[in-house]
Amino acid sequence: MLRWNAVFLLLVINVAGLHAGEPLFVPHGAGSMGMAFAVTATPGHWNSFHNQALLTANSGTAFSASFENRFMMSALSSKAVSAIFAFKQAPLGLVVSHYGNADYYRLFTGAGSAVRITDAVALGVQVDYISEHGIGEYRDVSHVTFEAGMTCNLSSSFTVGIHLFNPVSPLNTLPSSIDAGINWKQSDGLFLTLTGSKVSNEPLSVQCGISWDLMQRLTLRTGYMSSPSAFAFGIGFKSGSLQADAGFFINSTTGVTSSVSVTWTIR
Amino acid sequence: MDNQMKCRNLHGEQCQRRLRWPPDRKAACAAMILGLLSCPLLCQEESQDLRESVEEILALSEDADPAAMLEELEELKVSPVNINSGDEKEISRLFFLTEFQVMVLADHVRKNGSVVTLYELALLPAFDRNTVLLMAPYISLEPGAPKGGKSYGRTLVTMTAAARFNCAESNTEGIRSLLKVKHKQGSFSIGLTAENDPGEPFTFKNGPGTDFLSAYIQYEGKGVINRIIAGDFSVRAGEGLLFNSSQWMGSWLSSPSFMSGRSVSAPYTSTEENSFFRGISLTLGSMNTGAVLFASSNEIDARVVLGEDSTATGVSHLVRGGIHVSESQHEAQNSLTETIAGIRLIAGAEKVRGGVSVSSTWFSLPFIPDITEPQNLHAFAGDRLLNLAADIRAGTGSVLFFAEAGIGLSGPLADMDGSNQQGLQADTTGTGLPGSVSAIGGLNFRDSWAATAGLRAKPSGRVTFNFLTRHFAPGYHAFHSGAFKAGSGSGNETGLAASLHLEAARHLFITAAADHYRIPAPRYRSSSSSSGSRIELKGEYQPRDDISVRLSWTTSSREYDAARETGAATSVTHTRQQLGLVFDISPAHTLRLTTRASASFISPSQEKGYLLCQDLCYSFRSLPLKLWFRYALCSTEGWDSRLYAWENDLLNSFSVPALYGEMTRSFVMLSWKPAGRIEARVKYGFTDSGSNPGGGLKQEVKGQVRIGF
Repeated sequence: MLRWNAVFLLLVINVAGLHAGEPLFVPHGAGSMGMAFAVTATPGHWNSFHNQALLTANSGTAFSASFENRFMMSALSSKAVSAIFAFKQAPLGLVVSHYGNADYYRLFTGAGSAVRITDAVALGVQVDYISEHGIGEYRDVSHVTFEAGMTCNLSSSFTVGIHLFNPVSPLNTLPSSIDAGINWKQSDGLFLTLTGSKVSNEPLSVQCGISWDLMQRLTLRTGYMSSPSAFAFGIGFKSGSLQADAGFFINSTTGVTSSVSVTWTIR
Repeated sequence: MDNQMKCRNLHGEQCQRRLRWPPDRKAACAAMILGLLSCPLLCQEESQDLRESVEEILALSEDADPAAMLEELEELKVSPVNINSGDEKEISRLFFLTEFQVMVLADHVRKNGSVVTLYELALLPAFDRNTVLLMAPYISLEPGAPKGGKSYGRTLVTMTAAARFNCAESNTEGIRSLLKVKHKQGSFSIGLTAENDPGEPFTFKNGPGTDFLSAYIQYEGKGVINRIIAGDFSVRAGEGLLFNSSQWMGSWLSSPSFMSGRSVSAPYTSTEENSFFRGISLTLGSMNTGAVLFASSNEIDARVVLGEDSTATGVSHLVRGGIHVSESQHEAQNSLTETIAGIRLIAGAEKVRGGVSVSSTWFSLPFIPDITEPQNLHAFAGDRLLNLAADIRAGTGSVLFFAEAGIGLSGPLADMDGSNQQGLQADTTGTGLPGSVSAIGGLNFRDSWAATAGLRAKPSGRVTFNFLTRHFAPGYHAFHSGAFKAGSGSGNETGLAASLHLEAARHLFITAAADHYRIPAPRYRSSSSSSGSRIELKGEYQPRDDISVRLSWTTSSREYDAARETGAATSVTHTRQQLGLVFDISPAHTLRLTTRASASFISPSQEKGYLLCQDLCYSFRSLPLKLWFRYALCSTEGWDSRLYAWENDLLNSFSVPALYGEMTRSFVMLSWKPAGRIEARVKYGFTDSGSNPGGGLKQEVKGQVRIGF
């Protein structure tokens, strides 16, 4: 107990002592994008990094790579790789993402785990290290923070989830966010999701998404995000242990944001 | 009859029962059957969803004119569609159904027998609860009529007179008279519509007596010649890029489907005085394979542009409304002749159907828009227009895909290079605009096209999802179009829309819809490109057939020019939010009470308003009388925060008054139906808007007699 307190205190002191920029966590996963990131309570590989409690829903070890291109501009592209090791006691999730170009980039690294408290409730936590690099007179900055999530199975078809990012915002200048969502498994192939998301200094965003499995291999996804207002579309194809997903965000002002991801699951 | 056997789709698969069946199914079925057959739905009205959508459409667009749309629906209410006839022609009178839906329904009746309850329809492929509720007021579940025997036909005569009395003189005083006659005998039918608006004289001098006179004669065959219409008719094709007489669907965001109704050429019976064809229409073949040919020459209202010698050299724009009282309205009356010839070819099978439409339009006077106004930079100019479009629909019951693409090429006044354009407004700004179309003539394919595509998915019995994307180039023109579009006109919009209809739980139904669009070229009140959005959230809780609660929230925003006296205009986003609650209950078999409350909020003006309304509908047991009563109280801070309230009205009529300021509105209406084919209605309405500018006491009296022979 004393050891865990010391580790926590160490993290807090480090966070408090670091200089702050204003980076934001860039969400990844083409499947998540296809549902407008309304995935706080929806199981999935990349969804497990949107709410760490979902790590417990992964049945096998999996590796994935994701690429996102914002507004069709290469300088705003983001690359990420992740791995989930489905250990029996507590799964382990690792994620690394790179956002930007050679002159300016942001490196995000996270390690998380989750435990199932009861049959219905799971808790997850992830420690994040964020590094920001700029050229010229811009100094490099680094941050350490953490995020946590919880899911609760209300019934066999309803799951609620909640996720916090950087709850220690008074100690640093990073924005905090809180997401709360619900997932409805209407049938074996049809999921409907609804999430509310609030990032500090930004308006509340409501996201909803639908995922529909066709022919057990093809998945169609769509969603809507209210702030910024955008429609989302996605498609996924599964063959054996490989799954490929593509997703798009369409905003009338900023244009198209696209994403692709490939996931390899070892059973 | 075994309901289990009846509920099968075209593939013989048994439909899943996900609708709310009471625990004791047999008793509940019997109760529903008895309830539906022994007493017709005494106060059967349009679906509440449709009413709310009409109110929202009117609140968002002052140009919206749902008259033609609602009159089409009223026609169906007067003569409901007999679903159990199994006849595709009869079922296709429900114009808002697609060909696929018509075929599914007809096939279901032929294979499984008569439909007993509405719930059964919702289980069919391509149908859902919202579509069935939309159909409900316009269908009959009586068994199909036996064939054979002499028939002298059926005649329906409807005479309506309405008068308004205002405390202050205005041009809305006077009597509006309307006569509708329809006779159908065998394969032939004829119809006549005659109307005089308030203030318009009844005279045969230089006219047919009434201000508006419309008639048709129709032959419906059973062979290659499907239908011939001589007289006034309307056309609907594809997704409405070229022709769509049912323009209401163009703005209904939470409609059951974004797909346009069935392609058809139908007799015109509305009182809207400009949006129809006058000539001859020939329909060949069937719904799957056929052709529609038509030719029309019709005089319409337009604002005439006079030359230096005071002769008409052109027109600046069309005039809608159909009121001919003032001098300028008389000048615009029938000042332009529109001649159209068109052909539509259809081919397809059960799961795929496509069509090609071509039309050519000539005007007796060229259009000469004032291109010094920003909104007219892409306005139609010239005296001829060529439209081409191709459409396709495909899919099974769970997923239906539709798309249409079209192009509109306007002919220059004289030469192709834009020279020798007599009467055309000169471009005094020197901007030239070489890449644009229409206003300075010439052909420009890049800026003259339009396309729309979408899908309707029903992944389960409880979820229906619709999606639509559209692009209308600023220079795309089609004078009779009615595709899904947030703004008015035929072009200048790009957007995405989606809607979700969900049976969230037992008795609980939720609808969510969103639409985002961009208007790339200047338009009225916006001198630069702009964007807008609409969001609708609706929930309905209906634990029993006699009680329902509806809650709705809608928000719409659009950019407009900010008020400035000098300099380039900046834009400001105007947002309208509206919250509504409707509580509907039938405490007794003959009594129905509806309570509604609405509130609106406008930004950035911060205007607010609310509306409270109580309706009562009572059917007398021993007398053939029915009574409607309403009292509405409204308080808004201005016109922008106005609220609309749908009213029960006479047959073939509708009333959706705008309430604003400090206003009360009441009406009482009485219907007397001594026999099945005779009905008389009288309505008295009373509006007190004393503190409003130009307000005061306004009364109206309407009377109507409908006789069927």
